[in-house]
Amino acid sequence: MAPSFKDEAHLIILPGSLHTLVRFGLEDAITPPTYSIPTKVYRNPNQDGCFQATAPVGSEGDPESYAVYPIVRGEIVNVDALDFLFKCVLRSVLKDNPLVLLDSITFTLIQSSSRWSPVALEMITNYAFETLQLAAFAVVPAALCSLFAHGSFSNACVIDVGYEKCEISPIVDFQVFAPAVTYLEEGGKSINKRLHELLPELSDDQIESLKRSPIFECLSEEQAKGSYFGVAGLLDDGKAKNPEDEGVLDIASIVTSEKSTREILEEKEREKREKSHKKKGKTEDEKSNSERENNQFVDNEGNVITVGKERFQGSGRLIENLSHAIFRALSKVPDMKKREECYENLVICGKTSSIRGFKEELLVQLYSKFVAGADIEEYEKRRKERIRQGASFRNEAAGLMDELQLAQAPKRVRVIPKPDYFSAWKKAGFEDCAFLGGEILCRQIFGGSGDNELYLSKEEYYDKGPMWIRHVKL
Amino acid sequence: MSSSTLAPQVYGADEINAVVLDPGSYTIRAGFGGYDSPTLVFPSSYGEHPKKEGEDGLVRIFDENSLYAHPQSNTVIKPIMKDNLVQDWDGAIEQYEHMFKLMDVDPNEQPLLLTESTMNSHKNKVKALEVFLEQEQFCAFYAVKQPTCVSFAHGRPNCLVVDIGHDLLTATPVIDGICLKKQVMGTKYAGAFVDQQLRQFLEEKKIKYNPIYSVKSKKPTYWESPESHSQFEPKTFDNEVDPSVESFNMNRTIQEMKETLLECCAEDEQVERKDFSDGEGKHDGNKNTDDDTLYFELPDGLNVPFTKYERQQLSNSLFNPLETLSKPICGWEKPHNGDIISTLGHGSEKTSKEYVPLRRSKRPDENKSEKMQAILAKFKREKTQRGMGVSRLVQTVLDNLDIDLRPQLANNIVLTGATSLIPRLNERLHSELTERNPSLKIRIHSVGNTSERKYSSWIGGSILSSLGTFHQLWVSKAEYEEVGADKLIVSRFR
Repeated sequence: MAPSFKDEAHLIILPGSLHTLVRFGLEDAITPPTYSIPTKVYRNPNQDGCFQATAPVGSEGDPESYAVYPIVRGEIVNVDALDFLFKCVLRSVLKDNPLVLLDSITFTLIQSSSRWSPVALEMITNYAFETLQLAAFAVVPAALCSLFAHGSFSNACVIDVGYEKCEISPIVDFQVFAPAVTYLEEGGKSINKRLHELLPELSDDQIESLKRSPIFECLSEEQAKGSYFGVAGLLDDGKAKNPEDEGVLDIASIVTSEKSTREILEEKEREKREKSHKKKGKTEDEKSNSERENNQFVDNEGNVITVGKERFQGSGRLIENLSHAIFRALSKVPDMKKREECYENLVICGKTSSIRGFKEELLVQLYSKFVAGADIEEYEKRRKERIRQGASFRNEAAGLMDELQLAQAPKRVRVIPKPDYFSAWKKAGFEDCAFLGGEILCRQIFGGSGDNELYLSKEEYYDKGPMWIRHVKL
Repeated sequence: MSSSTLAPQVYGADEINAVVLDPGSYTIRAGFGGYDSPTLVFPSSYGEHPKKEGEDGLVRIFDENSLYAHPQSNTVIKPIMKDNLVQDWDGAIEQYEHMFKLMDVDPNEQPLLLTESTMNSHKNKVKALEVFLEQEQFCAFYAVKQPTCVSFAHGRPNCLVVDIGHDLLTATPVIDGICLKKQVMGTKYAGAFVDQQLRQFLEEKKIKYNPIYSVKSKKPTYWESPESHSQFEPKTFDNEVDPSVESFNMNRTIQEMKETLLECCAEDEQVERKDFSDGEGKHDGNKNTDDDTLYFELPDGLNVPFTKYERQQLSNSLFNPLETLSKPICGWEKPHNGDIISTLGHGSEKTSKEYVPLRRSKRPDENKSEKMQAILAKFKREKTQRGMGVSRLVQTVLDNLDIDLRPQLANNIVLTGATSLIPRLNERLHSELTERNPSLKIRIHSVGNTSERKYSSWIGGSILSSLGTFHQLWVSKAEYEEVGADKLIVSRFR
């Protein structure tokens, strides 16, 4: 008889390259993570091989020089540092919940990348039981979690757009199909880099805020046509001319005044209103972001910065590479039918994908490049001809594309719609859906009828050793 | 406690976390022993371009995306393997290192299992030992024959492994898990052969292939006559793209064609070639298509029709390699006789000693009866007429086998390799073999799971390396330094 676990004692951790999401205790309604902490610890300057949670005080030099990032590009580069991070998390959990016993806590680790080596995983298992003394340990891959957050699909493709890497994980028969998992060594960082080239005046922080602000968008061709700059003006090929040469207005006039942000904003509003009164037709306020010539955002320090067309550039190359990588990943799924299903069940997650228009543009790229037989006119023509010839044809509901006798995949591309029954997650955004899926799985794994084989309990660990984690890993 | 029966389990199957490397002529598979599928699958080729200005030398790239999405100037794509043998060791080593890095392999802790072709040359084996034990500093190494791995993956120590891969089609008898190397027969009528036919098929239709990176936007068009052109907006490059890059991209499209279009059929089911054109150059709209026509859309939006006849003929060429749509097939003009060992030229090496099963004391070639010679003569005649297709190749291997082994192997024919995934190929092979061998019970084992069929030699390697009883077979670095490569190969890796 397996021990039963309480919902309040589930510890779920999703360590990413930049941030680690943590939640302790599940509620009835599945809620977003309670903490998001930087995935970063510091070397202890006095003791080799030891870590500390805060930057060393009193020692000379930049505290950043002591920083250790346990996960780089999804890969665990320093297991000890990661272990230490878990310990810190656990320690603060115990501080908040002094009544919880260590050996009643279950630990669900969401494996954020398939790149984690089996050895690292075994070391973490070892640490979880022998140092942290936890009751049970389970590892679930993030790709599966992201999928389960959207519902239960047997074949799908999860695209995780991260900071320094993108990971495309085709899922076949409810399992990550390892041979086809594809990595792209680009991500949000490459957007920053590109923006930096375009806007050399801005600091790294400001670029990051620009990327996160709602005015940073990916435009589709249609939108680009309707935008202030037109298609040609927005072309984002590496050799784009210096914006100044094209005479395109001001590039980032940084307003650094002593006035508070609010005051500045109000001032701007007033100016705008005055200006718009003179204009006919649409006022500036009514115009959408893409129709405006320039728009503003506020950086971390409260400065209002105006940017021109650069806010629509920077992500083009990433999206293009991503579309190729998706096609390449799914070409490795051997079964045509399942491959087709994978294309129909795309999940796009990861923080970078929250850029406005990012998902849409990715779909447009996939559609225009790889989808076969996107020609409905021809289908109509052929259908009519068939009727004329008196040939019997199948039920029309059989679908447009099936009639076209096209053999290859993909015939369509579709993103799984977000489920709307996780009310608490609506505010948090669905980019971290891997964590939501992790919570769902955690409940499944530990709340099961007892003979569940998806976690490692303490008894089992001492019986079979850390290697056994591979057998219970999803 | 009876330790004798428990021993193998106590060995602890996963104690050793081996790395399994399975190079093939089209892709290379790598992963950890004990897993059910490889972690990395890479093409057996790499891109190479000169270093940045001011530096000499070449940079090799293995990242697939840079090979497909944005071809750079001066990039040349080079193959690593040919006929399932490593031909470019420098490229191979760098690719292995790249994969080990991605997999986070620690050579001091993890041994390496390499699968190799039965036709592997002595030189290659010495090199492999040197590379993995000296250069890469692996703590231990072992090389297993690919058919042996396949037999393990299927749990059949005695079987006839028919591997239809990309460059080669081989039939290898495996007895007690050991390949009978002298009995191996093979042809080059495999995946690449179908590729070339598809290329010629497109050429005859006057279709120009435009790789996906040169297409900006496409509009679906339909091929009706050699005058049909695709309508697409090309993307301009300021650099020139090497033909090898284009051909690499085309290979991918052709790969997809093979996956989607081909289907084998029995000889009597083959549909007649329909003559749609009323005369030379007179094509009329939908006349050259029918209900069974399937379309394939090229990256530039051109839909190419494949009639049922054409699709069947393409796939059946594996059975009748001399009856192809267009003749002759460039690179396959000379018919193969199935003697792959002499074609590749590593047959008579000192190390290739043949395995003789214990229960057999007779020399296998002592008793060639008259009857068998008659059969052989008959097949030789047929061969010259129709070429050495799959079933004739398997038949010849069966005929060459020792009479005592024949029934058992005929009952355990294992079909593997990605090209064997063509629908109904196993059906036709079975019916042809049954027809020819009324006295034998022919059974063909082919796993339905497509990924298992594609990676069966890797899976076998993974099973082997995780077996407790296998651990005594590893060749450690110390042993290599003590004994030396030449002797090791004779005693350990025959």
